[in-house]
Amino acid sequence: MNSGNSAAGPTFNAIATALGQNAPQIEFIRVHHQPDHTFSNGISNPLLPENHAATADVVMENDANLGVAFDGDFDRCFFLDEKGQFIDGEYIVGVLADVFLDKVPEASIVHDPCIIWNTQSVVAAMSGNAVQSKRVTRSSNKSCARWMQFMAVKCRPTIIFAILPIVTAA
Amino acid sequence: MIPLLLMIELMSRTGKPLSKLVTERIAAYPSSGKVNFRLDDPKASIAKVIAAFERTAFVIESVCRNGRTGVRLNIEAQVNETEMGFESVFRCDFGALICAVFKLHRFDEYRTGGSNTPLNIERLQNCRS
Repeated sequence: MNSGNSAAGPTFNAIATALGQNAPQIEFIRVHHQPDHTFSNGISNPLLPENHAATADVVMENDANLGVAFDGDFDRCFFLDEKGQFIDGEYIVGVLADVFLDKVPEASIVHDPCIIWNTQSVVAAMSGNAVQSKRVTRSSNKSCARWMQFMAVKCRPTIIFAILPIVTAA
Repeated sequence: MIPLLLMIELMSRTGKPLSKLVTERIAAYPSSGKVNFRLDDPKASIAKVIAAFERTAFVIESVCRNGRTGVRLNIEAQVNETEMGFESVFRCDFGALICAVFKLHRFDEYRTGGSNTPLNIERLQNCRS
């Protein structure tokens, strides 16, 4: 769990505390966990290949089941598998679409227009409705040039709307 | 945090590690990873790439923004067991595409977002011939 010295650290602590009562079998290993406005480990951008090792090495050293890394402003998260292999966001979107469709059958999944075939295939296999957004959503923060993906799950009569900052194909 | 919790939930429910959850998907729908270019004239480059590949590519989509020199390229493929592997497609079409841009413009930087299809300059240059 690499928080990139961002706000993800304390946020995660609160979640882990609540989670711990119900799922004590989950052990979290914290990396770059303390918020640090100087970003002494570098401004976290886990997407860059040279930054994968900071999380991957810890996954392998500890024989962990999963690695997750957040970026410096805590609006994107990235996954590494149990071998420390970075998994591209487009495939994570497919996995999460699968999860949502399991929870909400026939839901609509909104995905961005970059790298779409896997997502569409997953959604079709789960009898969901894949909706391609017209353009890549982008943060207004020019200096960071962050790209985000919104995944929406909608069902009737109640509308559940989940906005998940996920690294994407963009 | 929500994606993290959902991922833990899915792995717990299925008993599968993340690698197992994505391996088949990556094989079925391989992608190039993200390739960033900083170009002098993005619009002209994009037009040239489209012109070169519009007859052979399945779908070409382009999102162009004025005032930016950065161009990000994403390529994906659909592969089945009877077809040529993505590795071959990557080496030919994708490599040629990159090289087409190479010849015309300054290539300052590139990034690839995933290591499932490793990308390096040497490999791309080999595609020129």
